[in-house]
Amino acid sequence: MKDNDTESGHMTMQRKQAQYENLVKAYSSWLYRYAYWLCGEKATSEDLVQETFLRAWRFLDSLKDEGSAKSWLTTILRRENARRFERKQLQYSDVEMDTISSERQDFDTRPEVLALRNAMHRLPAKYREPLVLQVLEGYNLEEIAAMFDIPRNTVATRLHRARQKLRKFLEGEEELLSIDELH
Amino acid sequence: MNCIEFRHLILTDPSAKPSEAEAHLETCAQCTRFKQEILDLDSDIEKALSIEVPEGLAARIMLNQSLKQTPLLQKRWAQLAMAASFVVAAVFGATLLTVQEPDAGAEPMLAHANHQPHEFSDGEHEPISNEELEVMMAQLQLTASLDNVVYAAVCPIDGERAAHLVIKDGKDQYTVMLVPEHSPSKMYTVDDKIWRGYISPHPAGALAVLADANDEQAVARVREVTDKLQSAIYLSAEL
Repeated sequence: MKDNDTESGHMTMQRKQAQYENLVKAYSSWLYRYAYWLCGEKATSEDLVQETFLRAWRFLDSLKDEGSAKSWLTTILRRENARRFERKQLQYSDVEMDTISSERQDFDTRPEVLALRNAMHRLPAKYREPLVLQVLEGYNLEEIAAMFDIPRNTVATRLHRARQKLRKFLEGEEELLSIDELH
Repeated sequence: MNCIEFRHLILTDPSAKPSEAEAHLETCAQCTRFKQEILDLDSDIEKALSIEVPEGLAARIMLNQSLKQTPLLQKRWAQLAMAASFVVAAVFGATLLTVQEPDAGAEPMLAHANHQPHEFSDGEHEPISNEELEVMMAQLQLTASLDNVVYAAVCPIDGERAAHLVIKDGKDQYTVMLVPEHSPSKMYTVDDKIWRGYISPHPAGALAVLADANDEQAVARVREVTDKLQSAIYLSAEL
């Protein structure tokens, strides 16, 4: 009986490991990109993704629906970023233009894209985050609202303003502040 | 829908296509241009957001998780190995195992192999990347020049961190374990109801190469594969 129990326990661990590997393969790239647009630093982005997956491993049993894995992981990452933010009291979005430029060698470097990338870094986080989720991963307003725990209309307003600000910035009509003081 | 309502909708979600918006587009050239501008903006935003992901990120995440779990797993696997070794001894007995030298580490290795995920018995798994293999082997200061590895993990075997691989050689599949600190004095055969193969001395420890006892073709080539692996796995310091 004990042998059966240990074998069963081992198989459970193997299944958990396999499920975990599938999540890492499927979502680590997305989470890295999202983390980068949350914090603006590559090294910190990878740390955030690592912390996210370590936490995911601990609580993997609570993931009942594989279909919600991506949102679940994204939410964990947002919380990890918030914890990091609280710990260090740093404004990660306050990244100097020069720093961003020096990190961009593996980016699309066309002037219009570079200008937009810099504008994205300067966009307040509350506007940038839903825009990243919508444009990069196709999340709809309801999904973003659920993830942020805010009303759908608030998400709509933030997306509206995000695009407006980017357009004005690109047209030279608006100086985007580099910290989240536009809340 | 008027122009203000339409533009609010498009700035909120450029991909939205409710019938009222489509009807408005048919009557308003300015809003048609506006929508195209926002679609172009979104296209540029997508390009701006698409940064490259560092190579090997997934492998490093797996490695990190593996290292964090090691103390827990070692305890659990030590229990498993002990329990399983009793099972092997009881079921197969000394007559089924020609391996008897303790240093060969046969029983813990076979116990571990017996708990290998059943998914690997179907032979349908895709090979892991060379980078994943490299990261895993580096944990044991080993390097492997192998293709078609479908499973690679650092596992506690007999209290040691050991390499556990499943490889394909042609159509045949083999379970491979390399346990550091074990030092068999010569090559031993493994011949039981589940596995056929060899445990042989290797510069990095004891190398077990096992074929499914029911797979005659794999069994026939297990010695040849063992010889290949002897030179395909080496200590990183030897490089």
